Amino acid sequence: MDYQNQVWKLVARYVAREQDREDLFQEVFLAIHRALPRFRGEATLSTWIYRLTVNTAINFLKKQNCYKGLKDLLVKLHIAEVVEPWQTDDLTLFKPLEKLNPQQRMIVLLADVEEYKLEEIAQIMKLPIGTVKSTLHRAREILKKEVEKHGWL
Amino acid sequence: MAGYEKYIEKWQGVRAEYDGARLLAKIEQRWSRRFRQTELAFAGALVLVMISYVFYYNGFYAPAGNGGIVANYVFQSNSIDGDPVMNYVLTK
Repeated sequence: MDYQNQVWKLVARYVAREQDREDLFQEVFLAIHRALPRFRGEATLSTWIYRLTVNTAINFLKKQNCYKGLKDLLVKLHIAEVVEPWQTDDLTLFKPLEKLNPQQRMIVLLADVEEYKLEEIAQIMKLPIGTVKSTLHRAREILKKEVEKHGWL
Repeated sequence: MAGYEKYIEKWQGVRAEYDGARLLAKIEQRWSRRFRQTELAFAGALVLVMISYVFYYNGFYAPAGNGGIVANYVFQSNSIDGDPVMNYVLTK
């Protein structure tokens, strides 16, 4: 139950729409179910689950971005309806995050919101620590600009 | 920086309560809906295949003795040229 809570917390911060959260949550647990036989115990179970969550979440957002153009076209042609992306109370919170790419979004959430150390993030995301540092720096710069634009001062 | 810090503080205050039972029920509901849709699509595809089969080998308006199932029925003909399944059934 503890892991489910942990996964849900990250998922809820990563995507805005309730349905996307549920889809992503489901995908994470499907990924865990598929990958569990390959778990060799080299990392702790929680780190391993977190890594799977992070990878699944990044892929989820990339996939969604791929279909964004198609969705817009379908809406323009009146084939599909406009789906209101903000169905949560914290709608303005997600706006600045929208400007980040999936990896930047994840690194900022892990570093600044979840307060993970850079080494831990590098371990979770299987990235060199230098990449984590530079991505975080870039992401913070983008976010700062966006936050000022949306009046968080 | 103040704006950014405030923003992050706001994020940290966001409560993301996990309600396992509710979420599980929703996921189960979605899977059963998806399963029903798959079942329907499969049944529809099967019907289409059967209809195309009938039309392809046993054109409804083909003359008796030339494969038309309606014509065969009307004229009581057993000759169904070109229909591998019916030929097999009738020659057995």
